[in-house]
Amino acid sequence: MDAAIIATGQSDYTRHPKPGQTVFTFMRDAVTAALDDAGMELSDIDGLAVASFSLEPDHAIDLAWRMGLSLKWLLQDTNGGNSAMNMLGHAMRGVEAGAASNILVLAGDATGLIGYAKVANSYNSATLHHLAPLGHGGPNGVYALVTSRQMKKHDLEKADYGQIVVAQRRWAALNPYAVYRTPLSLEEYLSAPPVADPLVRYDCVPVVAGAQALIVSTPDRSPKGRSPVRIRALMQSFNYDNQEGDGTKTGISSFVGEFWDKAGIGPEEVDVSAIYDDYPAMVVAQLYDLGMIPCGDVKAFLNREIGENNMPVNTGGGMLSAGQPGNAGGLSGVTEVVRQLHGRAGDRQIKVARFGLVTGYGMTLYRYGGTASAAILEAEV
Amino acid sequence: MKLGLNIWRCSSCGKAAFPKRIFCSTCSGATWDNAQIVKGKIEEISLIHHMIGQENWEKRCIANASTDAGIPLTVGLIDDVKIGDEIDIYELDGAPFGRKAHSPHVN
Repeated sequence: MDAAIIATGQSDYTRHPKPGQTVFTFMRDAVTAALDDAGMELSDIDGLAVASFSLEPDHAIDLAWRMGLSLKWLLQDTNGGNSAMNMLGHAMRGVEAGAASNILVLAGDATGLIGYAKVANSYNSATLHHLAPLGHGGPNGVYALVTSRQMKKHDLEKADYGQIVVAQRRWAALNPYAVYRTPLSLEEYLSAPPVADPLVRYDCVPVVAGAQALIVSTPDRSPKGRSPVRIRALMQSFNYDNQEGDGTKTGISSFVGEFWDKAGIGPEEVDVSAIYDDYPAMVVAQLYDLGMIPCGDVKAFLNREIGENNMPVNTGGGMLSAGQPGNAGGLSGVTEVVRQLHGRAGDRQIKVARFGLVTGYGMTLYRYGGTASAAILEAEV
Repeated sequence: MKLGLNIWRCSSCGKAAFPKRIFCSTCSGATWDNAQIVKGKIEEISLIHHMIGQENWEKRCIANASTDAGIPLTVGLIDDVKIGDEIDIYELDGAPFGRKAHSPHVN
């Protein structure tokens, strides 16, 4: 059987949830929006994949119970910034294998700042025992050191990273769900308060509460007049180098050749991208590994393609401007690209959107992330 | 705080590991010998100005250090060191800290 993404939905994002707003209310809103988008009833859903830090002590089955879902297929994913891609891959194969017909892929969090700090300091045993006692500042400290290494490797300056941040804020201004939409100048970026040298405030994702959802089904269930979005290639890497590198490369580098072969297109044919943007340095690392940076000249690419030419990367503003709702951060990139491929991205819709690139990255093991993934999505034309 | 960080060496091939692993990533060996790292060199430093969700945060420095055992470590810095400085590595409850080499011993 063939599989496709047929619908998306999201909740509002907020920096400060109101009393009564919980992960369940945000998930409810995202699911309701996705079902409306698909023209489906909740009872049509027979598979559920979910990722959330906020469910604890509950699990996926508890969520199914609370949602009144009786299922044939169930998955709870714990891969952080890679969860969305992992769930998408499993959901696609679940439909292809006939294990379920309509799989709801859902992610959301409402940890609050205190809850986020707890997650950041006890992310895994290596963090709990070997990093948090240093006062490492959570992932900001880890990726501050990665950023410094990348700056040396590619001879980059802070202003080069600012091109990513400022460009994504331009896109965010066109996304009504983004929590930060006011245009940001390069000067404002460069003069922002430091967080963990060399990272400043705008290099770090704002923690928000919110949820994202999409539905994977057979293409024939796609609403009339809308192209189903197929997954031409989806590849992943887990612990590709045993933390023996320097973190400036990601696991994408381990499969990039096979990835483009499977996709049947080249980097130059990508119309729109969502690159997992927990930090600007990781956007650079993934684009570099994917061969999206001509001649490997990162500085020229950031200033020309991202800065001057407004290359459509993270067109919803990315997590850096739209916000990172915990585990839903990765899924926000997928839903944004699907909306672009559906031609329903509102004021930020790009003119031609046939091929979309999405990535996932995360699960900081010790010195950098241990998971990475990439997919090419395609809208039928 | 004691001088030297406890690490592990694969009993089969001698590869160093920190934190401890189950199997050796080089030879798949499953037994480990205790070892120590004492010396390192500062490669990158970050001053942590702020920690989300924490008030009254005291700024502190962390660093990436290359070591004589061949494995890079993330260390907390006890005193004022710069990129390129040699450090002595200390351990407090399993967490590695660094201070400028040949400084007086700290407890």
